[in-house]
Amino acid sequence: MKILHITLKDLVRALRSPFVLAFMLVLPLLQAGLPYLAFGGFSQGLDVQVTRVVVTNLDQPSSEHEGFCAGTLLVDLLQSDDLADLLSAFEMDTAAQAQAAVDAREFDVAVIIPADFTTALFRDDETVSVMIYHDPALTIGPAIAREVVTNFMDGFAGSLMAADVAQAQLAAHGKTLDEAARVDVMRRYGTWIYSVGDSLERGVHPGINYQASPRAEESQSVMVALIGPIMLGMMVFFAFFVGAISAQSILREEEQGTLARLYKTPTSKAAILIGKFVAVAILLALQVTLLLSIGGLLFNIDWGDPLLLTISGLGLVLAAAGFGFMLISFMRSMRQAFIVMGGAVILTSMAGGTMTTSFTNLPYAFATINLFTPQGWVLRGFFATMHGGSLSEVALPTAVASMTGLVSLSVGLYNLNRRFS
Amino acid sequence: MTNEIAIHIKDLHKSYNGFTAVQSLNFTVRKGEIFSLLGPNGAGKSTTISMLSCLLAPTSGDALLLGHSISKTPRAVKEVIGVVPQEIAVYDDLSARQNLIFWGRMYGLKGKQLARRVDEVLDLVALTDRQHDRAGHYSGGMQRRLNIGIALLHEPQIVIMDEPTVGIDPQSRRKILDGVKELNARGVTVLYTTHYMEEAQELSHRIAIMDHGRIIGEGTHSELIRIVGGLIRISLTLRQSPGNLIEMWRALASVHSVSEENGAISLLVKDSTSILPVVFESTARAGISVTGMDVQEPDLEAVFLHLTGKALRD
Ligand SMILES: Nc1ncnc2c1ncn2[C@@H]1O[C@H](COP(=O)(O)OP(=O)(O)O)[C@@H](O)[C@H]1O
Ligand SMILES: [Mg+2]
Repeated sequence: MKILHITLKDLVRALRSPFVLAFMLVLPLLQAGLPYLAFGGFSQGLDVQVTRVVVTNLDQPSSEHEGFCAGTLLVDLLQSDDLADLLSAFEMDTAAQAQAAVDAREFDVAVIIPADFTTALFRDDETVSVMIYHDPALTIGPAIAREVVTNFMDGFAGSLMAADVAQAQLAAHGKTLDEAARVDVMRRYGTWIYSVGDSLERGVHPGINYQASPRAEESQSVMVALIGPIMLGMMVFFAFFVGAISAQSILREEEQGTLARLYKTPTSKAAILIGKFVAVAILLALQVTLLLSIGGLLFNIDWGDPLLLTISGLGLVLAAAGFGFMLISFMRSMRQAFIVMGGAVILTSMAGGTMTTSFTNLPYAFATINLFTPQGWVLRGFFATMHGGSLSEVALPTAVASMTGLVSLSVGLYNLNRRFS
Repeated sequence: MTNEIAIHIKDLHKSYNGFTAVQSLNFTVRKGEIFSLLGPNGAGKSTTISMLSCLLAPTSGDALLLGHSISKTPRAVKEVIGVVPQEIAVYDDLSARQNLIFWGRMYGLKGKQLARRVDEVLDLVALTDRQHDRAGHYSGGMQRRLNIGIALLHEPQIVIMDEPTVGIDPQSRRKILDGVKELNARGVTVLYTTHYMEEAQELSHRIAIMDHGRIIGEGTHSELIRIVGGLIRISLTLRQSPGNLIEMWRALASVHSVSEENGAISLLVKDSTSILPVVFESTARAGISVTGMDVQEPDLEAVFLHLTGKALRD
């Protein structure tokens, strides 16, 4: 029971220390999160702003071309559901109204379709111009609108050309393509471009650039594949740091006289030291649980099988807590601990490979060095878990890591017990 | 007070790598007594208390507290004593209440009894109003009081206090001294250490004077005064160096001893009326002016001077 109260007291004190909290959560998250943010890992979560388009269609159905109206087709395209993620289009009657709405920042872009749009398109008239009027502060929105309009007009010109070529061929065989047939080609084009709006949305033409799409997804998963090991390395590194920092409460209590006072109460030395060790272990368990959860939820890291992950996590907690305890038991004062502790944790962590978790092809010698550090074994357990290893593949390195924890805990307890006599 | 023995110290020794901090310590404290260890810094008071509270193992010897041996049954000793350490030892990031609850649990208190004792002690050390503030935000006096309160939680029959009034304001000091007497009035045996002779004199039934790890005199206040045999102490402050005056005074028949420390001269004399004119005459002849003079009835300071040849105060 006394052990429990000593543990609780230590936990309350540790959680009141901004220093401990910084090393527990803030620093590891920053270390792992910064590269993620830098690579834009959040883009799937943060939507691209929908461009607000106002469109004025001055085009009229052309009697010359059997009542066909290209302007209406363009408006339909702009308003199609497939483009809804990129832009929303609202119709206004006059160009002045539309421009005023952009000036008033109610819309980002105005698309004004001129009166003789259909006629001009059929005549392949270079002078026809759809006006795109936009807020000068914006770049992406107007570019998207321009892209959609350009695609539409290029496609229109293309199909018209195809129709003309077909007509010329037919004429050579003494046949003619009547106006109704030409308009039909245009109508079909309209239906087609409408139906491929979905791929226009991605800014790629179906069939040609489709490769780009899976590659983008692939780079996304490369990010996730990279962030996992980085976050793992940081978690292990900072867990060992927190182990040492929180075990330092022994030195702090020694310097503040409360440790001597505890020894004067009818409480065994073992209970006092074990109570403090348990506090360190619980703090680490809290840290590891939170970091694993945040990594999974925020960075979409797949840590692997939950049971194996729990085993690896316990190994880390035991190894880091024991390491901290042993380290502190050799220190004479807080001052000394501050200097030595940082160095010892950084050195063993580097040798253990916590800084290089995302490098896949390190020299073999390095892989051997990390076998001499608890961090190296802890990492092996986690890697096996993340790569879908079997229970024994995870349990073996974790058992070694746990053993280092128990051995260093024993050394620590031995030193600390001898220290007061 | 009874004749039953609360603390029995038997030839206690402690040395640190060859340096002897406490040697051949023997004394007994009776139940219900306030017993003071009076001595200058470095005398070995804290070392003695560390051994009695089973923190330090003696190099040799033993002590019995209510019959429990510090070397054989330390746990039983710890249960019957409450120790107030010289340095404030409380958790400064916890409140007074949290501190008391925690320390109470370390003494095995729980539940209603713990809550009751925490309230009583808060009241006793006048911290009820500030019980929820962090101890680190308290004044020195309040921290001292909390430091004492912790030792009283489990209602120990023996309370050991190591210089509990060092470095605090006179008001807090008064409160603490009154608290010690009150505690004693309830039957608690108190072992008190101090380097202030006034405290020892005011509080104690018996006093042991300690220097260089040994007890050099022991008894009630009046018994100790009797050592100096009615000698009167004359303290002098001179503007110039006394030169050979000290030797001259020492040679006088009615002068028992003369000491000089940092320009302050103390003479222990049998009869001040005959000596004072001689002192003034000799200083005047030597062209030395007297800037301060004080004649005191025998006190513990005089006893210490008599026994060690030096002043108790640093
Ligand atoms: N841990 C220690 N190691 C070596 N010497 C010590 C230690 N603690 C105390 N001493 C020495 O023992 C002597 C007695 O110290 P202490 O018991 O603290 O005296 P007091 O409490 O009367 O001032 C001093 O000379 C002190 O320097
Ligand atoms: Mg002392």
